[in-house]
Amino acid sequence: MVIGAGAAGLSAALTAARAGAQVVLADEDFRLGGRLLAESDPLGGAPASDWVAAVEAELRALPNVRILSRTTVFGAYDHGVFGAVERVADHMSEPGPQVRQTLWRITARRAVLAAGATERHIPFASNDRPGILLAGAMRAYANRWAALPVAKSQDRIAIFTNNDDGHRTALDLIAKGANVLGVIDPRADAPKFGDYQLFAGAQVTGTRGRLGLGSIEITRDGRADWLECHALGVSGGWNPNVHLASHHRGRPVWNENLLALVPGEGGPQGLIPSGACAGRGSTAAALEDGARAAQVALSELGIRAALPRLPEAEDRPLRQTALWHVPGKARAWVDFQNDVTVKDIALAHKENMRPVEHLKRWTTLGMATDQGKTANVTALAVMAELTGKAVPETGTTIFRPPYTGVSLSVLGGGDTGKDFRPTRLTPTHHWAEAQGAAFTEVGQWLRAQYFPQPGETHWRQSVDREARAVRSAVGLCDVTTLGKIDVQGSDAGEFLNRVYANTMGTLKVGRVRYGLMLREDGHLYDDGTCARLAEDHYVVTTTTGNAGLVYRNMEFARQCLWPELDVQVISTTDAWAQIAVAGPKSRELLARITDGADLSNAAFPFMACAALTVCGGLRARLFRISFSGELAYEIAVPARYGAALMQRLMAQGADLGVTPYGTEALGVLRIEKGHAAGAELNGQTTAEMLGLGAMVSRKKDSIGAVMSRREGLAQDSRRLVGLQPVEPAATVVPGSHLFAEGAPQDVAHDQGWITSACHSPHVGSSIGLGFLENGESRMGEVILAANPLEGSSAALRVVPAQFVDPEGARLRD
Amino acid sequence: MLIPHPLLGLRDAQEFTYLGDAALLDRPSPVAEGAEAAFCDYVFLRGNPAGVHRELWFHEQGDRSWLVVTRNTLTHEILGAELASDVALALKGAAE
Repeated sequence: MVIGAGAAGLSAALTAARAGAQVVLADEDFRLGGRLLAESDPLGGAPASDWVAAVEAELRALPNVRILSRTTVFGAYDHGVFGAVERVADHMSEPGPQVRQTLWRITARRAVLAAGATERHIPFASNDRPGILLAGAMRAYANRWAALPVAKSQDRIAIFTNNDDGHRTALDLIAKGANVLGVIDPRADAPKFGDYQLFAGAQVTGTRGRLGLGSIEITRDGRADWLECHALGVSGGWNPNVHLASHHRGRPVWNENLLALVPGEGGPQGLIPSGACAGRGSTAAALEDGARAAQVALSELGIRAALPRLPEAEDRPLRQTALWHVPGKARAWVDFQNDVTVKDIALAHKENMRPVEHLKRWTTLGMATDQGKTANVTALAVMAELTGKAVPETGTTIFRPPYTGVSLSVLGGGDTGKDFRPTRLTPTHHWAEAQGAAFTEVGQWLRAQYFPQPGETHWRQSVDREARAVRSAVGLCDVTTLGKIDVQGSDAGEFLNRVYANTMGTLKVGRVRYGLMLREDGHLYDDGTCARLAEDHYVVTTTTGNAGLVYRNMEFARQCLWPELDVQVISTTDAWAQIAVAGPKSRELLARITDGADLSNAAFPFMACAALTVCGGLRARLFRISFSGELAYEIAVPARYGAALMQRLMAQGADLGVTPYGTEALGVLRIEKGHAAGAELNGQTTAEMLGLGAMVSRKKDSIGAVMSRREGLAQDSRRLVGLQPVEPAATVVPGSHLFAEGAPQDVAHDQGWITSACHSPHVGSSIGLGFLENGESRMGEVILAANPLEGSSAALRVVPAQFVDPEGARLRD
Repeated sequence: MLIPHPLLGLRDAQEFTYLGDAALLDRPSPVAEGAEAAFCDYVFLRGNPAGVHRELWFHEQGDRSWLVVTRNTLTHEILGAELASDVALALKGAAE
């Protein structure tokens, strides 16, 4: 990877490309060439643009080179990964369907940093007037764009420079026919390169002008003169663009000859700075250095590369003097973007904000979007002058990514709005849509929430009807979203014994068992069913929300804790469509689609499971399990048949009153039955609290078993109870906290909280589930549910959590 | 970051889910004396060194391998990556 396509970058890319390496050449500009495009110096006796064009043509013809123009490499990341933004369509007046920008993640085994240099200013009084710009920028306007920063062609332009390079601007402007006032150079022995007036040993000490520069004050030997001037080019030397080399804790070092920071030790591995960003800024040096850097990079990769024949180029020596600011009383700007002046730095010094970290934060120096590209080194030198120390003793400025501003939207890419994360659709989604279902988000899934029928104007009407249909006839609910994990192997039973709190190894083939899973810290983690399809084959289910996590944990247990077990696990959540068929008429409905299976209670009792076929040969799995408390089944078929199965069940069950139901009715039915769901398994609860403490087997080890017995957890007396308002019209509000009547409503008297609540069509009022201290022995007691958020409270009666069929006769029917 | 997967070669860290200290491989014996205290340490205490660290990464968007990656947390240099199952088996072999 070559970062920058100026003299150094092009010669590096050419060297690497000719050696056959895979080369990415990235440059911010829309045209390759970098500073070569802005200078008038010839290359090999011809305009530099000729050489650039020839190199570009050669590179574009090579299949191993990718050129990324309008692309800024903004950061170096671990292991040779670079971030870059390509501005694809920002420059187009009508971008069309293309993206505006593209984020590139480029993994490079070696990189040549050829980022060039940025000119710096010399702060002097009133140096923020329009018409004052960097001398190099002025030269680029003239040479590359044939533009002068003045209103009329005869307006006078001056140059203020502490180095030879500034004089080139005067020469180029003269060549373009501009009216050059002269060059102001603080060096008493300043050289003169052409036919212009030289103010040697002089400085610019002030400016005037309305709406732009009108005149400048030139001071020489204590004598000040005001001269008419409409544009002023300033050059305080050049700062190498060390930014990417100082990512990864690279520390730039001060070079007293260059009066600048250059890349030092450290920095991103495999990144070789070359050319002007390494302090080798003459065209000849940059060309040679780029080729050499590429050669070093390639040889580290075992590729021998020949140096290309490079054109003859300018090789002027760097000559400058350390003039960091012009002394004076008036404001002299250092950081133009954040308006930090020499005075501000002096004040920082006075207030003892001298370390660069303090200077920066106290003055906001370098904290604007340019991140101090032109200001930081100058400010450092001004502070060094004030403290009487050398620049390196005063501090170093380093740079973090990004090199230039990167919009959050290019980092986010298309992940916005609906596409922020994937949407998972159930196999019956489109069918449910056609039925007019309302949908709800459950993690990434969209699930049918309820199915409004004509005449129903409130969601409660739909939900009550659906819940009643399940209790009186038969209902259908897509439960595909529950996680399904296939567990196979001769040690599958032993493996499940260790990941579930209760025993699964003793489960008979063809049977299902409810399972509780703990975290290693002893709290409840997840619940589900575990079906044994064969001696060495189980299928377990998880809650919808934990499907991915439980699978990850099972892989952890299998690979990291017990790799000696012969067991394999795989998620099959997306492979099988699963539909709950629930209600007293569910057996009758299923008998119509199963291919002759005996579903009688004797042959297929509660908690039975089987692999069978339905609808004339379609393979399926049938589980007699119930979340609603009714006679119920769940049937699974390969996912692509899910919608067809739903339609078949709807058609076959029309005379039975078959009713599709959504997640709302599902919630109502399970609350009525006192079954735990996400609100009860919230990571703060235990098996004891659910009244299922006996399920945590003491006969075997399992994840969380040891910690579940520790004192703090074992002593928790809160238990799951049902709650019913004393006033039938009152509402049970989930999240409310429970208090004894008359007790102060504070943390010390808190006796528990309400986890779930709904309107129960079965009970005929609002009902809830909650955890209450010693709840199992407080049946019939009236307690207060406080809802301080809404400033209300309700008297509730404590009842068993099973509002429906507490004996469980229906589901065994 | 790039993680040198022992089976799949260099893979981008974005394909992985990070867990942390590979000490989690060494689950205490549930029947040993002081098991509760040992589990307490196992569950709640983690090494977090500034320097070379052995940590668990899950190739969730890949082949679902758990890896033990040896990484310098100061420089992000990755010194090696092994299949966690191999490390766990060796650990058990050494204990026996």
